[in-house]
Amino acid sequence: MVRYIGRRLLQMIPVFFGATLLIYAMVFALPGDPIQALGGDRGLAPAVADQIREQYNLDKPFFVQYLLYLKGIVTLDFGNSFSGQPVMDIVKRAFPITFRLAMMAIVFEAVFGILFGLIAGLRKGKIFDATVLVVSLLVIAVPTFVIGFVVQFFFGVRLQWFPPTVGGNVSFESLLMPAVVLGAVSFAYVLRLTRTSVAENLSADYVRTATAKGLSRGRVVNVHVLRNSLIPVVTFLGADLGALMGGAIVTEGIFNVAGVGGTLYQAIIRGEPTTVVTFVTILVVVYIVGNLLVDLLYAVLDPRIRYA
Amino acid sequence: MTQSHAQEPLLEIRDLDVSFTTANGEVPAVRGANLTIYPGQSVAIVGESGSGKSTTAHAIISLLPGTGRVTGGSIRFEGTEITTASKQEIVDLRGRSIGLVPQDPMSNLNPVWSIGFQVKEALRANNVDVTRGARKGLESALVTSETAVADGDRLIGRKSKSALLDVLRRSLLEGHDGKPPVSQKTADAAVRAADARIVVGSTTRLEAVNALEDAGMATAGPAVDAQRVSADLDDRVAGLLAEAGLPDALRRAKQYPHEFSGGMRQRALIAIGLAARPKLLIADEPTSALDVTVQRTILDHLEGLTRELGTAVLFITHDLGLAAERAEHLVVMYRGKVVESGPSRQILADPRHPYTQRLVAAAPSLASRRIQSAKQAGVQAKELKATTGGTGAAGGRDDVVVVKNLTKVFQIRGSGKQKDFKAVDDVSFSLERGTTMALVGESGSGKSTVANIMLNLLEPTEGSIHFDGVDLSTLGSSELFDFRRRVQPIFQNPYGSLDPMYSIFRTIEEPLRIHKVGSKKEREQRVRELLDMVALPQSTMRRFPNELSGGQRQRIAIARALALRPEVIVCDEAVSALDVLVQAQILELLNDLQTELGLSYLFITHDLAVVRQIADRVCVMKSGRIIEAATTDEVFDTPREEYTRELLGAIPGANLDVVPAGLEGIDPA
Amino acid sequence: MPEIFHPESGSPAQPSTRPGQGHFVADVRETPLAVVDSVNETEAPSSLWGDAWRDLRVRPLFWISATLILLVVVVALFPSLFTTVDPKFCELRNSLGSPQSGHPFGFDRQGCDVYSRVIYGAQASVTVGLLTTVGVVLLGGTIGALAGFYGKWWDTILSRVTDIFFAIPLVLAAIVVGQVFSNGKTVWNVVAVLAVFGWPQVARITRGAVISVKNNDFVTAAKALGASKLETLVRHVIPNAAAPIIVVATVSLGTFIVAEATLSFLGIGLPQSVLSWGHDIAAAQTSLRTNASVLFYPSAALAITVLSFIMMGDAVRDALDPKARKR
Repeated sequence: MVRYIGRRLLQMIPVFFGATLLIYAMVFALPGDPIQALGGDRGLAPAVADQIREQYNLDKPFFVQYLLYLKGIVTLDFGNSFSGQPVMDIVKRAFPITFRLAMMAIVFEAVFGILFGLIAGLRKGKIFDATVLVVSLLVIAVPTFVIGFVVQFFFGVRLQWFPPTVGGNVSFESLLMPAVVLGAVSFAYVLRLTRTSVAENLSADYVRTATAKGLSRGRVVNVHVLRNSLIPVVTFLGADLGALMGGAIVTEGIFNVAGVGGTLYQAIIRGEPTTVVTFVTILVVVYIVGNLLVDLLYAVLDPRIRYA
Repeated sequence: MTQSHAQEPLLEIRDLDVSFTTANGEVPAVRGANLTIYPGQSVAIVGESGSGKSTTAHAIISLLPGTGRVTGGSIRFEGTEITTASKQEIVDLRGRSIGLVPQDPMSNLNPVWSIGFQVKEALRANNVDVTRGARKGLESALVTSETAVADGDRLIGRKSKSALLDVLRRSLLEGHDGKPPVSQKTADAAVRAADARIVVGSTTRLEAVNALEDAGMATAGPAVDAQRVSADLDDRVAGLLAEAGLPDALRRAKQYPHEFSGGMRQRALIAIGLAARPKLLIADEPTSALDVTVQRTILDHLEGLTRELGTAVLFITHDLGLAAERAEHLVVMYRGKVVESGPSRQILADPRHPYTQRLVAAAPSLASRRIQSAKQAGVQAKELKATTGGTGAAGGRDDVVVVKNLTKVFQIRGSGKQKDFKAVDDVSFSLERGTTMALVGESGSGKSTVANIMLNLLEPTEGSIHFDGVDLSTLGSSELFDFRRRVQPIFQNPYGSLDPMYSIFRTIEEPLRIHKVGSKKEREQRVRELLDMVALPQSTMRRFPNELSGGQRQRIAIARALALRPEVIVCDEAVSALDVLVQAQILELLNDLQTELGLSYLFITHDLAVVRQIADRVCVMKSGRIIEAATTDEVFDTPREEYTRELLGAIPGANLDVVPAGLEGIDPA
Repeated sequence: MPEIFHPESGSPAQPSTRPGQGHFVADVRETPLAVVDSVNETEAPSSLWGDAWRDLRVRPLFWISATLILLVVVVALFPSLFTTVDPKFCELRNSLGSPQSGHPFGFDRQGCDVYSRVIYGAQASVTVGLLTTVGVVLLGGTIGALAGFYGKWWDTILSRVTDIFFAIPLVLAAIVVGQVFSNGKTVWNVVAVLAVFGWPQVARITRGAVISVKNNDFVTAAKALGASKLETLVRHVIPNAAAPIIVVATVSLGTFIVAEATLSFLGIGLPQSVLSWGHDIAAAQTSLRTNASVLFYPSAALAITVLSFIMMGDAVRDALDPKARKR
């Protein structure tokens, strides 16, 4: 068990460095000059530009830049944005909101995805299964922003069940609609995954043996089918945490949530490389931590892993 | 068979029809099957894959897979009709009245739950009283103690056991009831003896009294009476596992299936099947995935246990030898129909249906038995088995392969450090040209590693292989490429050894193409020739592996191996996955090809029965070493090593006292 | 011909057997012996792909999705066959106008013909979806196959690289990189960005498929015949690992179309000059309350396109499922 986790942690290290290096390179080293872009169409005075470059270590060789940036991450000193605001403040403001939103979305997709997937898998080929499958296909096929518009329009504007936009009011109720929209696509994937997995496990030999022992159908499903079927679903959910937080841009934009997505989008548009890099780095860390959690949960669910 | 004829049948199947619904309509799997089992009796259904034997068994406990359903006839268990029973009645029947020991121990235990949990479930689901043993009668009568013990049939639990052992030790050391104190050593030995006899969750209080008294206590009754706590669920689980022959059951129960070997898993499955003390146990190929010696111990154990409990057993098996040895009544099924049924000995000695006759003639275990009895009768074994035999030419043997001091060490990464595992340990043998040498051993014996080294798929750690006098390790890569032409493999799994994307033509042509032999036209001619050689129609070459049966695929694999006109063929369990009749055909084909082309075979197998039909010489491997090497007759008639004797004794049907009907007048094809 | 006994009567020669257990022999006429293991020479030979095709042929799902895909592709290739209206000819006086003859879907806020814009928008989506998928399969397929087939340190390194790219969300990476291309963006930029960050999934699936195929005996047999490693990989392993890759490629084609629309929606995908459903949906956001059909038509076109690819993936997956294969 300890060795398993240790190995997983070791594997995370190159992923962390590789991903941060990649992001850093993308934001700073690709053609285009963020500093010049700061000045808009007029451009900056060379002296001012040089000063800013020095401040952000942009005058140093690329690899040195990267190491200084890493040092900043480790000491939690993310520096200031071009507008002079400490990036840490922006992080503190944006991340809790998005984290809450993403967690709500995960809970939504996990609960409903697994529930519907289980029922569909148990009744494969029946009406419920067919209906649920069609709905899940539609959810996957219709882009999130279209679902967002429609949901916002119907439940927010027409029926007025929920506030159509979140704005400064980040209550549970106001985040409910964005969370459902954010989790919609993953909900469909969780459902399909659970369904396939349940249907597959139902015909497993050990399920037949359990039935032959004299267990009731309910117990066979709960104890033998469901637990085994959840293993791939859990993997998906863990990896999805990072994806949801990073993918919240669209949803946050539609519902005007002042979270990671909105802030990041603005930072990209305004050309704020420090903010962009910091945000993306944190998202990568969230992704890595999410995967680590999955690995732990995996070990709980599947004893074979524990001793591997 | 002296039991009262008035006894009612336990299970009675009459004119059973089972069908599966497919896209092409109803496909019958069982047609008009009849079967009767009396309480405590052992019956076996014998048949090849697709004969409907497993389907019949599954119909009994309503576990037909997918679209299968009973379409006619009746199944009566203790007089109650099962085919029309309600769902709840079926659930009640399962486990409690009819237990199942399934086929594949690897896939029949849920990998995410501990073994103990899975046994416990079987007890809980059937509301079994875990404080009392169900096995009474005979056992209790044999108990010799005259001391009366309250609740004598209650089972001893963990706490009671350790308390009783303490009492035993103390009484012995201190002296009691006028007995003098004994030495520490004597007391320890007595406690160990009692410890071994008292099995938590299985030994009753009455038996415990006996065990304690045998260990030296004058009267153990009061001590046992003083223990009021009897076995709990965990104790019973351990007891059941111990009864199924699992050592150290209390600790083992906490482990997970992946920590168990195949044999141990099968024992756990037997414990589960018998947990609720059913009246009928269906054993569906219970040991076909296991090594023969393990198979034998498990079957012996199962037989003892079910006899003791008075459980009737229905064996489902493809092995006629096994069936005849373990069951008193046989039912032979073929293509969904019962073709012959009756007392085992009678069927073996006097098979009447042509299919049964074929089966009796082809079963390797029986064939080997037949050779033996024929030899006793003075008939030359050579006439019965089809081996070509060594040329035995004067003036030294012509060895095509000489293996000297072969050693292969694998490095296993375990708990941080590298560990060495010697898969093959100082193995030497030689293969005479035109003969067959069998390398026999159980799983993990290193026989397949030797095969892979022979095929140059693995590098030996030490030792050498001389092929026609040339040391293989001295060959350069282009010479090695040529060497490949001279040694070819045939693998075990006919489903995995052919590329499903390749047509049969491409499959057989591939070696010719790789070695750039002939023009396109010549190659096609050669493929046709090869198909003729393995007795398949030439039109087969346009087909794909998924259209062929296992035996046909194995013929294709043989044709591919022969394409480059090799001298040596390494057959790695080449017939193990096939049904007996097909197996017999392939063995015959291999023998014919040997005579015709002068091939030499290295025949790797776990099945000694097959060896007798094909090999001239045998090397028995165990834990990476060759422990016995001799001619086939010597190994079978005068085995020198205990392990070889054990292997021979484990061949199903080896101990039958009936001589199975011979080949006379029966065409095995 | 053996004598026939009936189960009830039992064999007269064995009086000691119990009822129902006499020596029974079935009538040979009822159970004729087949020749052991004969080859079926009557049916036409069928390869795995042939089997899959026969299976697909009877699935309505396959025909529906195939028809839709064909339709979308034809629309993308020859939009002028379906409309004579210029999608860029917009008159503000038609703003949000209702459908009328020649303009079945009405007009958007700018007064452009919605039907014509939906027709011409197909090209961008299909081009980006197809090209990205090709790129992803080439990149991810190669990396996954090498990692899976060669194993050892190849696997260690390539799997970590895959993890790195997996750790960065696709849309996010596309936004970051897309921003850099903000001047002079082309379809190729969008395809490149999506392909560079979209390959890890294909790589993982290819790696898994290759590993499971390479353990088959036919791969060992090819080695024993003298085939080289690369030859074995190309001739035996990859063709057998192709099925799951085809499935995932078909489904990802749909998701890449969604990704392109999302980027265009965010204003960082295709340049505004290229007609794209994503742009139109973004523009329609403001008109939702007054004329929902402006949002509906491009969304529906997008959804149907994506849906047809996903359904095709599902149908192909079912047809290629090894468990469903005969024998």
